[in-house]
Amino acid sequence: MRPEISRTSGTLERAAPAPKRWHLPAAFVPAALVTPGLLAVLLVIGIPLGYSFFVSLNRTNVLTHRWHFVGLANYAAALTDPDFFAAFERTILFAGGAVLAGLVIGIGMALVLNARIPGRGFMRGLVLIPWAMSPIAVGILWSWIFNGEYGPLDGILLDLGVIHHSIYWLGGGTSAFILVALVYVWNQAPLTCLLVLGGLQSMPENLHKAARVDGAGPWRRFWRITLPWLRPTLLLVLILTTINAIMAFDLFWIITQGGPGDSTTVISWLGYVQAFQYFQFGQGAAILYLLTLLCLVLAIAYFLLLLAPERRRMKRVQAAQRAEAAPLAASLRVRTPPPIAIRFPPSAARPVPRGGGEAWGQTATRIAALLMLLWSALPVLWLLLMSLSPSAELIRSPPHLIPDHLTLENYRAILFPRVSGAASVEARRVPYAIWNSLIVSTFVTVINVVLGSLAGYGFAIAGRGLRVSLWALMLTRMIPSLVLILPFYIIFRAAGLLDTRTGLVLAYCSLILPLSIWIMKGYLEGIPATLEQAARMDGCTRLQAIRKVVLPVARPGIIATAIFCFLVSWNEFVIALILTSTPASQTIPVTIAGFLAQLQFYDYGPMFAASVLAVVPPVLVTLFFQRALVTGMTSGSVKG
Amino acid sequence: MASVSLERMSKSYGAVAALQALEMRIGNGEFLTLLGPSGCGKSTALACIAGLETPTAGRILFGDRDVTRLEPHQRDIAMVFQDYALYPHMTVRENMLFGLQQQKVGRTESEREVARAADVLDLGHLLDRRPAELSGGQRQRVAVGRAVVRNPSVFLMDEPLSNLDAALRVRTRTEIRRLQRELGVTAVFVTHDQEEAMVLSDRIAVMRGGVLQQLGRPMDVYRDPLNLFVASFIGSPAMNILEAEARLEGDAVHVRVSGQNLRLPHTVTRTSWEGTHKALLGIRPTDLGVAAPEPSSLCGRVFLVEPVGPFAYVDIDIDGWTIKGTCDPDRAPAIGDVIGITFISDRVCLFDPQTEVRL
Repeated sequence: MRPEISRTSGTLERAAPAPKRWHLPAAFVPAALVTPGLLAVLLVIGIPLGYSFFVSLNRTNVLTHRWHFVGLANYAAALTDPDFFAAFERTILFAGGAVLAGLVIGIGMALVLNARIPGRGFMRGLVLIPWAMSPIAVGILWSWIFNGEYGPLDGILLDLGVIHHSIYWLGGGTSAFILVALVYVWNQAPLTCLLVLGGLQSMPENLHKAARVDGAGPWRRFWRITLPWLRPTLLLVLILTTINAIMAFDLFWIITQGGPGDSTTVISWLGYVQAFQYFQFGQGAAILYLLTLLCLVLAIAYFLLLLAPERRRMKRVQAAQRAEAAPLAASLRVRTPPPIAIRFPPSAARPVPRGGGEAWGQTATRIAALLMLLWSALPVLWLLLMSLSPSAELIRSPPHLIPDHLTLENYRAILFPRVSGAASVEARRVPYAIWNSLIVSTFVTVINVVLGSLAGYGFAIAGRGLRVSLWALMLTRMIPSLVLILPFYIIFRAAGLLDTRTGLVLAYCSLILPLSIWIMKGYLEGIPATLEQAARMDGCTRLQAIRKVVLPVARPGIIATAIFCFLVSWNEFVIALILTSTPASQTIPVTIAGFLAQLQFYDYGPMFAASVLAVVPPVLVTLFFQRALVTGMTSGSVKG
Repeated sequence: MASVSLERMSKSYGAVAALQALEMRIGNGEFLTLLGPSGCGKSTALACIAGLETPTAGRILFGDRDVTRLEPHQRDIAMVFQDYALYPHMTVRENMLFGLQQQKVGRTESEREVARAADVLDLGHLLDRRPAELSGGQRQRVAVGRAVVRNPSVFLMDEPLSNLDAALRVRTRTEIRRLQRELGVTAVFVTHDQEEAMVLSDRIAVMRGGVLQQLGRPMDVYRDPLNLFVASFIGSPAMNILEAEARLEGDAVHVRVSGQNLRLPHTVTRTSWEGTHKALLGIRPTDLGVAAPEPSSLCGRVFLVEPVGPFAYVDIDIDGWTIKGTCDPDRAPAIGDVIGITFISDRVCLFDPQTEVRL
């Protein structure tokens, strides 16, 4: 028996109706949410970008610091300079190779990680480590591995007897170029893997089952089912990795400095040298502007190339729809169908494909998984090993792979410089640099999560009206950070923000804000609109509904955004390098780079120890939140 | 509790008119269903009543209160959504308490209301679960419970049964009807399922392209559709439509269909005309039977028999067109048989082929 329902009208004692409050008209809510974020973007990107363009139309006299307006002369000079074209060619070569290799390796890793292998969760975290590491640590690690006098690569080969005298891997132009590209791929392929993995996980399981019933083997299924499904993901990956590769700078700075000769001088390096080593701001800005243009053109080309077939198909669909419209009366009468006249051939007449490939596939997957493990973990273990080696052992020549004994002395030197006594000037700076990094990253994360959530929600609920500004936002991804550093440098110098943490936080927002808005928008779009509506029925105002219902539900997306903000600001190098000059505001990547500038043999150990410390927080965060990263980032993200 | 009046309510999105001058009054405690195919404007109408959309013209009154420009939370309404929209980060209990807390209802008062609703809806053992840990049917009951505890003056439901499986859907709709009747609350229900609308409603509003087609009690709409659209949309399987010519003669209507003359009582017509009028003849499958073929009767060839239990549907081919009738499943004709077709003649509807309105 069900209990009786008794409605005693008016038993609920409701509080007296609240006095009428002023409400924002519904149509303005999206715009109001988006405004703070867009204003911030205008402030940290729009103004510097405009200023940078203005700078590119001028020349400065190095001696008098006077500015002369020269129109487009800087561009003309760059475009007639054979050095520029040589750098252009190298940039294209580097980007092409890196994108292609990254794509193949990244997709391969994603396929393995999507398969059923033992320890999959652990593997997923591990594969992401090279990407979570700061490019500076990556550069230090690999340039040491390739070092011709003390490098462990020579160490292995000598120990194994493959070679009999050391090879200077980075001494030759071509080999240096290829090695930098290889290191770049090592660092960046996990990004491709992460995005592709997200795409793979959203693929309906039944697709592959249906294809197997249709008799398609694994190879055929990959080309005909998996790749077409990944098409939109791959478009995003292509655009992101191409732009990242064209703008690559950190690794060149740390490994080759554009050399030997000019064999690794790409456009970003050329622009950097012009602007910040020769202090020819105008010429440097012009070169970097040309680089921006290149990114833009490529992004548009990708779009047209990959989306054009889809567009043509949609046009045909719409045309067919128009032709189909029929009056009601005609649609209500049913024609008696004619008897079926087609005869299907008996299925026995067709050959049945052989089975048995699946077992092979599993073995291959396991071998691939093992290779991935070595590729991702071995260099990191090496870094760890070197940080535990006494400095004297590191510079033993000929080099050996395994040190004779391990020590924590390097860590003591940088963490407790006063106690250890033996620490150098640079080593003493490490603790405070970590502190600076922590403060800057925390502030950047908080600011960007707040502004990104608000604006992301605004864009998610907005109709067509705001779409233009969203695309404008994404176009800022095409701007190399070097272009913005120049105006930041000049403006901050005037405003007294140079060499301050505040300045760094502002500059990092320019890098991160557009993407944090984009990620949050993607995530918030997936939350059903009915949730917010239900909250409004339940008596919430629009803002209460967002605060009490939408934001709690969006927590995984917010976490992913926060991780992303933290990783980028913690690892960032070039902005910090130029905008800071003293330990008061230098972050950990800059401090590590400082070891290289004044390298003493006793500093090698502490340098590697500092690199390990710089790598620990992002790696821990990535390992801990890898699931949130994979799900949160599928919406279209990502670290530069 | 309140009546709901829509006064020439219109809503357009740019050039697209989603609702055109909708005019209706929903009585206090009445259960009204907005029925129509997707894109007919029924959900837009509900969203306007809820305050999620603002009409571009016209007014909405709850009782005497003009609520047209009020926010949803100022209207004292509750709504059950198609996807239930349960807050995933809250337990069942918190979901039901949320609305009461927003309205500043006292703690003990709220707890009592939730306990009572849980009792009625058999949710007592689920109160500490999260929505993700519930089955589809349980989620649906929580959504109803969340709306009920609010003790709203108007109860809105947007296709709340469409995500349930067939058996559960039938059981739940009975439950919803019982609740609404015993609480005596005014309810507006949106669906595209005509059977649901028939079973649940005091009155049905059939809509098409943003325009109200007919508003009436379920059996009136079923028996006496005002136009071809309503006739075809209500009833399943759909009404058979045959091309015909109709002539008025004394107190009878003479209809010529497929070379045969049929005589119908004049009560099937609602207008009068001179001479022969082209017409579409509509007859429901349940009003159409089979008999031995006779020279004076309409004949056709059986090409499919579908027994459903109490009766069987017979698909009959007449001149290349298919119509559906019913027969006793134990005395069904064989496929390929030529049979005679009988009508319950006063259940026939005649429509103007141009205007689609009843003749």
